[in-house]
Amino acid sequence: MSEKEYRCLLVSDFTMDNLAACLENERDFPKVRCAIAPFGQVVQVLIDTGVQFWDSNPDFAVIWTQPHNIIESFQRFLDTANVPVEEILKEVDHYSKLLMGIQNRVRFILVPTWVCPSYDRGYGMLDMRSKGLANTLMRMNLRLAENLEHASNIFLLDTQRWTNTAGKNAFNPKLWYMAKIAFGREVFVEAARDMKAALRAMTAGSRKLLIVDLDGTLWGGIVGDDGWENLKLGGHDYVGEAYRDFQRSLKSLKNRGILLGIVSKNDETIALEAIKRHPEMVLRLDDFAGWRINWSDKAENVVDLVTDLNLGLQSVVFIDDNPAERARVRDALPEVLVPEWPEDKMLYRATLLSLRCFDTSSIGKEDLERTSMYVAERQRRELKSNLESLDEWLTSLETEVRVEELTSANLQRVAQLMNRTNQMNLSTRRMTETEILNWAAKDNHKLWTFSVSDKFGQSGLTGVASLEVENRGGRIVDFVLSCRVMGRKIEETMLHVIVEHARSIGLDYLYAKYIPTKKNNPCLEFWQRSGWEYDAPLSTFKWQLGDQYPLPNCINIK
Amino acid sequence: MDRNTILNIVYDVMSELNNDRGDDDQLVMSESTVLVGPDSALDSLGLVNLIVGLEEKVTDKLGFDLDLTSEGALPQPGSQLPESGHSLRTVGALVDYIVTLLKRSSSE
Repeated sequence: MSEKEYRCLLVSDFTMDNLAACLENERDFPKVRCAIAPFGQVVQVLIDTGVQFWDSNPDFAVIWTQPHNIIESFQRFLDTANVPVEEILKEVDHYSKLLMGIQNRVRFILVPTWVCPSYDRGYGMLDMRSKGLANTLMRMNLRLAENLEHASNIFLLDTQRWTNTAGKNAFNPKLWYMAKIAFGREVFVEAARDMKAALRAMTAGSRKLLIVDLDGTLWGGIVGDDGWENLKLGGHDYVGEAYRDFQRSLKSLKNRGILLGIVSKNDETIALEAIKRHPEMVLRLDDFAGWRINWSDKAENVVDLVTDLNLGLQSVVFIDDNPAERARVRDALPEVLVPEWPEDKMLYRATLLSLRCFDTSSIGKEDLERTSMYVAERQRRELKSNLESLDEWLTSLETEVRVEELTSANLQRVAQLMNRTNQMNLSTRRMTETEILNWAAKDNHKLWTFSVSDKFGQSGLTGVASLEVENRGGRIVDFVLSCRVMGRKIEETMLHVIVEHARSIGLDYLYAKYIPTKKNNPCLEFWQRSGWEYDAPLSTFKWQLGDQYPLPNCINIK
Repeated sequence: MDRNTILNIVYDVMSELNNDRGDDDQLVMSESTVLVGPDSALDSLGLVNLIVGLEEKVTDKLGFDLDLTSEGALPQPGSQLPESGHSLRTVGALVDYIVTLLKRSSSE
């Protein structure tokens, strides 16, 4: 994992030292260093670009306010109850604009939602009516969420969940009166954990593949001994029901873009038959990107499966009911996240849903179709094993590449690719949507997207390349390709498109500078065999534009 | 009330606070650890966190409504530094003070 330390600016109308302490000392990746803006000067800090705290160039800001402080009409509503809700919502609109005004000053902005102390019963049984406290606060939060829905780098976080987890110590008036601390310690602990999960989501640190065991994990019983007909799964049985609900939650993760895999010590034929034939199975074979079902060491099988799926171990979560297997994978593969797992099957689903490793800053079309893309990839590999040469296989795929420039329609996916792709990534620039848009808008900059399809289906927008023109030459700044389509001549196709463009505008040469990271060696290996002239000391690759860069025979450009 | 029980509760709270402190800034689990005054490892915010955390923990574990913030137990802002005999001066003194409050409460 990256050792980068993220700079955070905390802006609030209450004492934030406790949150700063939690963010800085919470062990989870990534590291955070906090600066705290002057107490109670939220509006001033948001409006005044000259405030010195912005000079620290923070990576992200947390703007955490109390509703009665930041929304003046809400305080009057609390005092008199005689304030039209429209007036309060108008003020929420104004506050939303202030938040959007700092979008360009910081890469990410986290805004915890507004809550009132749980001891405040408001209007009691009338509290959910239109003049009630709970009703009004819900409408304020909803309005804020609607206003910020399309602000690509502002994320509302749910404070209510943190206060619920903290329970009765979430609010302690003594903390407020003695030190102007709005919440109990547990609230800040939960908040810091969620904020770090959000940071991981925005910096390619989230997990992409969830590998599960079968016996005792996806179903009750041992399929090899008991037979699939006798497994505990669904039916009128509380344990069977718990297994089925766990599978439902796994399927829901899969449907939002998390890949599922199986690593199990079993006879493959018997295990697959259970998945295909058991009437209560929620997960079927097409829900899994891949599996290793055999009697080999599970750590070896995890590595094998992950390699097969072109992912890194840092992308993986491994769930197994057997503590010995968990310990084995944890010891052998420290990059894999192996959560402690409850013995009680009825807690499986809750444990899964509480994991903080699958957060994502956006969910696009590619996420929703990710598993089907991997299933298609499995079919491609099966075809490959029946054909003799790589060229023969690639030609048989009938691959088409659609090349487009950056648009508002593909911006979100471009940002996602640039921020999540580790292996085939030339410079590993992590940028927000706004930063990408601003960069591409410059006259001497150009950015292309590459969408790939073949006879097995769509792989979607999987490549991004960008060019910066400098006098007679041009620099390829970004060269990013999803691992899903690596090694299928898309890399060469991208170079062909860039070279053709550079020739058409009369440039003499192109170059690319490879910036090494812990994970992008595959990118170096591709460039070294690309035919471009390699200058190892400078880590650059050069192409004289007197020569064309051929389009691979197996690719059609649309 | 067993003095050791109270001491362990104080250590529990200190241990929770240590989770939010850096490796070189950990509170030492000792009765002689200074809580207020120039030699204290805690700033005023840390002291508030300790006191409120302790009140909540004692209520949770012993069902006793501990109030450490009245009767002048907490140094007031701008006041003279506590003398060596102050009830919150050290972990040991704090434990004795809580035991006294508990005894007083049970005899009332």
